[in-house]
Amino acid sequence: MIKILLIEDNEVMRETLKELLERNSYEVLAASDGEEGTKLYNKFLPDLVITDLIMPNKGGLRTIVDLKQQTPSLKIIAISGGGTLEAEQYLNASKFLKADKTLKKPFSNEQLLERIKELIG
Amino acid sequence: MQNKLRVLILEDFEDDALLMINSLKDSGFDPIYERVFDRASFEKMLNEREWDVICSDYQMPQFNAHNALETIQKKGLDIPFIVVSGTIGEDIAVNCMKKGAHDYLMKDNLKRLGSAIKREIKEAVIRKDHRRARKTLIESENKYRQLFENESDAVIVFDAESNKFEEANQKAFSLFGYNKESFLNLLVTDISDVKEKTVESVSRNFSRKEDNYIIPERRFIRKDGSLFYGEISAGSFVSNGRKKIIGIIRDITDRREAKETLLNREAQLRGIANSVPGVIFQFYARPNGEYGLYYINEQIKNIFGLDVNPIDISELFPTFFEHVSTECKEAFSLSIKKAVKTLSPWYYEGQFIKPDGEMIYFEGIAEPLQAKDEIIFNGVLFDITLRKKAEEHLLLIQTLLDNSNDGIFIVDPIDSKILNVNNKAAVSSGYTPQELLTMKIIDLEVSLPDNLSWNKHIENVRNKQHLIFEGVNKRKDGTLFNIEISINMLFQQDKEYLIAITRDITERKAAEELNKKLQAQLFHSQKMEAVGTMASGIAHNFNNILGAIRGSAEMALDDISPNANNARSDLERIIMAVKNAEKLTNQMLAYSRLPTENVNKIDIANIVIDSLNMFKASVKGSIKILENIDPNCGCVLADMYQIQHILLNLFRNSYQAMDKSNGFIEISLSPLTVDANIAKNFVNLKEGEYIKISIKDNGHGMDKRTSSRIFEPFFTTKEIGKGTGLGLSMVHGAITECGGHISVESEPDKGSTFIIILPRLQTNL
Repeated sequence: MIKILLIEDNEVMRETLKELLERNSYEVLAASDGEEGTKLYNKFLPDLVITDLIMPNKGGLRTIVDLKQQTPSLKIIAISGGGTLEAEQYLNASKFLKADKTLKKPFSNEQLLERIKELIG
Repeated sequence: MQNKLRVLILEDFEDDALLMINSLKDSGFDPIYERVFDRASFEKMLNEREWDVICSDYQMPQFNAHNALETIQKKGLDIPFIVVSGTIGEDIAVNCMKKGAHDYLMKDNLKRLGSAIKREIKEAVIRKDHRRARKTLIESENKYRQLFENESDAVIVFDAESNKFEEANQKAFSLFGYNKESFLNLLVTDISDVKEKTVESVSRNFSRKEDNYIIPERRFIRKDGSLFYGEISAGSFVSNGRKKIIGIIRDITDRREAKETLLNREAQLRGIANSVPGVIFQFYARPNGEYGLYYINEQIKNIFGLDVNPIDISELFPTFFEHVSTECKEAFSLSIKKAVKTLSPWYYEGQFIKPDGEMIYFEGIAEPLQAKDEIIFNGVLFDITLRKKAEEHLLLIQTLLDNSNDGIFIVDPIDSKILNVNNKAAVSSGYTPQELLTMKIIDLEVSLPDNLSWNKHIENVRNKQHLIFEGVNKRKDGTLFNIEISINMLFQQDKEYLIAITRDITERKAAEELNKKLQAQLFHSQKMEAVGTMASGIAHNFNNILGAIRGSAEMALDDISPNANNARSDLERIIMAVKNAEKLTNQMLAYSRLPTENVNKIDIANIVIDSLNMFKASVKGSIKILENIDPNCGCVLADMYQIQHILLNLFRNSYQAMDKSNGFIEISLSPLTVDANIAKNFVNLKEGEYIKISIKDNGHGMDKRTSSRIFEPFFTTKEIGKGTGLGLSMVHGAITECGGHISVESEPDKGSTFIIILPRLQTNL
């Protein structure tokens, strides 16, 4: 089973996404912020990380940098609804930081599943 | 012929008379004669003429020699009288001689007549001389007696050896208090209080050849023992072989008193002269150019520090001149020359360096007098250093006050009459100082605190002694200006004065207004930012929530059977609703930003014209559109579609606000240079080149409450559901991000004007 680490600070979004992924046969571990996510990563060692960007207690961009540093081959999808700046800008930044795919909220389930398939099959 | 002889003949016989005449002729005389023989004629002849000799018969019928002699003696005449008779004997002759005749002759012996007459004439002359001498002597004696007695000083005569008094005048008796008898029994030493000295001076005189001497002061003693001072001048003469001394004694008590009074007065004057607070002097200027001092009082030492030799002040003037300070020497010299030349009063003010180095200011005044061969100046010198310092100080204060940046008024509190002003007061009020001095404060239409009347206001000030208030003044040209007034009451010499210091606070007020405005702008900005941040935050969360709803709905679609049509539509509806919501939140997330993907250099005039054309097309000419577009506004860096969108947004708003039948919109575009002055009125704008777009309509306008919130997200004046309230906030966000400014001016029923300011691109990029 493919392991996906999900890092998303919004509770209902997190649960919805987790439900979606599990229904699609992925093993999901969910964290609510970058810090928790980073901790869980070492235990879980997922194949893919889906991370929100704007989060408290260590944001997505930082998390991407750290995880990529640790495991350069790790696949990361960055999602964002934006913050003070537009989502695009954050997502562009994440691309620059070597996120593999980006997705702007609001997105459909399909869109997300497609991205995942593209990265890890 | 020489020997003229005037003969008066008393003879009744003419012949006998002729005989006498002949005899005289024989004797060598040239007789001029008259013959009379009665008293009347005799007297007449004596009265009318002068006679050298009278020849008289002894007896005549009406007259005789005795009568004649009586007559002559009665008259006091001394004329040789010769009796010539024929008949009388010796005893009659002797009788006649006794009676005063000078000779007696017989008629028949006239030969002797001539010689007798010659002899008698000689005798008569001698007698005459004697009489004259005696008369002279008597007159002289009388004269001296008069002098002696009436001399107002005491005159004494005493023997130089015995010192005994021989004579003294009335004054001497009364002066010494003796009567004549007792005085003349005294010795001269009895009247002198210094007997030895008297003896000494007498003997000195006796031994020397001096005739006269004066003792200016000697103490004398009166009979009653009292003493007095007298001056004695004495001379000596010889009488009866003995040396006598005659002395004149003058009581000089009065003189001494006078002298003492004079000395006292002199001492008093000298004391005064030397203690007046000034230098009193007498200066002379001679025709030969010589200058000097005749007199200077002691203050020259105290005030000017110059040592003065009281005996010789000849060097004083040159010394004084030496000490006049160098810069002043020439003027000092000239002032004296001029006064001398024109004989006019001298006045001078200058500086003097005292010998100890101290510098003083001095002032000199003198009045001229033309003396016989020189000009005299009587004057005074004063040290005016204190006054000068006070004047300098006063000048300093005056300058300070005059140049003060605040207006200063001195006012009479009773009627608000302006008593004095400084320059700034005049400049601020627009009147000249001279005009102000004829005016009252109430003429300036100053607004008094609490709108009190002048008198009540003054009472207020009096109670508080000091008051500061703001008000409005009216200048001469009628303009009003804000003023801050600080008032103090001053009491001086029984009079009250109001001192008002005024500060034009127009600028300050303007600055305060500006500050308020900027504060409001900043607050507004911050509020917008806060709202924006909040909106962002909400939107962000919303996205997540919507994502969850959509995701779940989509999953639900997978969970249910393809045949559950109702459920499927319901779910699809949910998804649709969520998509709508997502759009909305997108708009909000950008903080009402429009997508700025296509930022370019765009010609602003073109874009404005394009937008306008688009708008015109949409309103189909039902309202008036006025254009005022400067084609040379250059370029801005912006998204073309964004700008277009903004303009259309604003046009639409205006259109919606107006009465379509007579509405108009005026669009202006012009370049704008923002300088420091303008920039300080806007929180967001920096100095630089900009363009300004203004969109003005005559719609229903907005009240202040509305217009101040018009750019807030979600603020809308439309009914619920009709407007999102995001349009203008998007516009605001977009413009502000460009580094521009947007604002609105509006009044209810007066329309609105939106102003957009955008940075202009520099042409030399």
